[in-house]
Amino acid sequence: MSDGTPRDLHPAAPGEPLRLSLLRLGTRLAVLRRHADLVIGGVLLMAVVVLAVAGPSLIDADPRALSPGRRLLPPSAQHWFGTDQLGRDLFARVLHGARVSLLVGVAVAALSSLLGAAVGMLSASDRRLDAVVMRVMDGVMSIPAILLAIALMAVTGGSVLNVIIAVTIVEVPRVARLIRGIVLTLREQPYVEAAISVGTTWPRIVVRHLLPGIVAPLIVQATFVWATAMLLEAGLSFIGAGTPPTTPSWGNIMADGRALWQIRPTLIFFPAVFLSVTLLAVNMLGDGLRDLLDPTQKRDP
Amino acid sequence: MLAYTIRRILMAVPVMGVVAAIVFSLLYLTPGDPATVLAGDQATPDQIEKIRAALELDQPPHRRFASWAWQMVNGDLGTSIFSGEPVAHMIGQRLQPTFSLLILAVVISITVGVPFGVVAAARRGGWTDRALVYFSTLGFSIPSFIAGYALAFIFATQLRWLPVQGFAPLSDGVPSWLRSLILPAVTLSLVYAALIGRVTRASMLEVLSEDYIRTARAKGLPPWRILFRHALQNAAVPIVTIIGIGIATLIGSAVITENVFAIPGIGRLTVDAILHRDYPIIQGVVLLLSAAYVLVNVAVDLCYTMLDPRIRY
Repeated sequence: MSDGTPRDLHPAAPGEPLRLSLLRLGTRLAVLRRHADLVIGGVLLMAVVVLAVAGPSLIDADPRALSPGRRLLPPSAQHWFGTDQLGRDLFARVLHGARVSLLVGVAVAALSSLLGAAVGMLSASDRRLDAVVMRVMDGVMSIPAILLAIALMAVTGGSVLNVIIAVTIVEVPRVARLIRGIVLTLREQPYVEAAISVGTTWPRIVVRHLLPGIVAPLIVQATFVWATAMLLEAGLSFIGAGTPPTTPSWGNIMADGRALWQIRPTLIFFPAVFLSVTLLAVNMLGDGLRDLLDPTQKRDP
Repeated sequence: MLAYTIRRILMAVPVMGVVAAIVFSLLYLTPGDPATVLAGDQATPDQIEKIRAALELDQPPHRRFASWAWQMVNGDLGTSIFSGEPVAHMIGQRLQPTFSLLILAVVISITVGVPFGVVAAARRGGWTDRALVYFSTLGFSIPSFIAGYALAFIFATQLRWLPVQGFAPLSDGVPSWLRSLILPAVTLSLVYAALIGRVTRASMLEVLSEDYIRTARAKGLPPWRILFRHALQNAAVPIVTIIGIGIATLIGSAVITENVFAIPGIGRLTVDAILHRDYPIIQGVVLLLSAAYVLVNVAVDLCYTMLDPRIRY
């Protein structure tokens, strides 16, 4: 973060010559442009978070309230996104869906980062353990992600908690592999060898010398896991293996719209746009964080 | 080469063993009674008792796994709870639509993704290059089933160029088969082609800075010949690798996207199985598609020696 010095970010002091403050504005714009992904992704994501948290209480429409007289209405001033085949307000449902999607995304990202990092570091610390753990991880990764999640949901039954558990199980091996690779490389570094040779205990080496090296890649990976988790939740719910139909989520709103989308395309359009924009925001955030935190992996143009 | 081929195929056996062990243990690691899960929602206590006896729960786990795995290897994937039909037979009937779709999607993705990546690398920073970056970021953010709805809306309901839904088997003739698969196959190709394009670009950029490319340019070879013969051949290994790895995502997307286009393939079978809580079918689908993925990657590994004579085993 060489360019992110506090000076660049502070507004010009009052009374300062105009030329200087313009110069500073230019620097600030350059900083923004260099991290455009991060800024755009972050702003978009904040907008979705605000809608998800505050939205449902601002509009007074119950996402579950049935009104048979108001079925399949087009968007209007009263129902911004129209209504579905049971007369439920689509705008209210989509806002509620944001909560499920974000909850699953954040929970899976946090859980699989913690578990994945633990498994990865443990595996890298012992050769025999490593052989066993990595074979199991290879096996898990040989099952296409959504299929493993479907199988897990089939044995546990549909609930938001089970979606979080299932998707975490799918994602842990991917994080574990990454962290294991990084720890194995870090361990060969002269400063770690030096620490070992002066008799530093292993837990201390992990905390003082290895953890700082894995934090940045782990944060970047966590954002991509976040996006994947929202994608998997939507896919699972869309085919009826995810969030139960009683809880509106973007995936099962689209599943409800499946039969009628040719008559009323808005049933699919609105949840689809919300999901895609949120995924785009998280992916841009991830790209931006990678450029910021890990200059060696810099993506060109 | 033959010895290596055999060795590489044998190496896939333990991986499939681990996959089978995971699928097998899912039923026992989850809270609740495996017999109840297997019996489905409408089972009588009598039926559950029968299934419990068939599971041989009194036997030690490794014994049960061995006899279950032996059954699977012999092509007996169990019996559907809902229809009572053999699972292997039910999956067999659904193979053609799904595999037609997958193969067509792979063909489209490679024929679009690789040239796109090559041109993007050759004109680094140009509009093709930027288009690839934007297109792939967008592709990774739009779930394939949503892209499917968008394409169906534009090309089927609005322009009426292609059928909205349904599948025509190969026996109806290639033209109608192709017409029914174009939209879903293009849908699946969006992400996959973007992935292949990005890796092709990165791999080409590395190769294009090599000395022999400069030599080829210096002796006046036509640029397309340098790009597609000299450079692409040497950039091929990472490209083939991502084609193999990407198949997993492609298979997953196909399972979901089939439901957008009402294609009667394995994805539809899976959804029906979820609806009826028909676990044996789901188990069979997971085993079969994982095996397909593992086999594709064996084939990819075998390609390496052909693409790069320096790779010897």
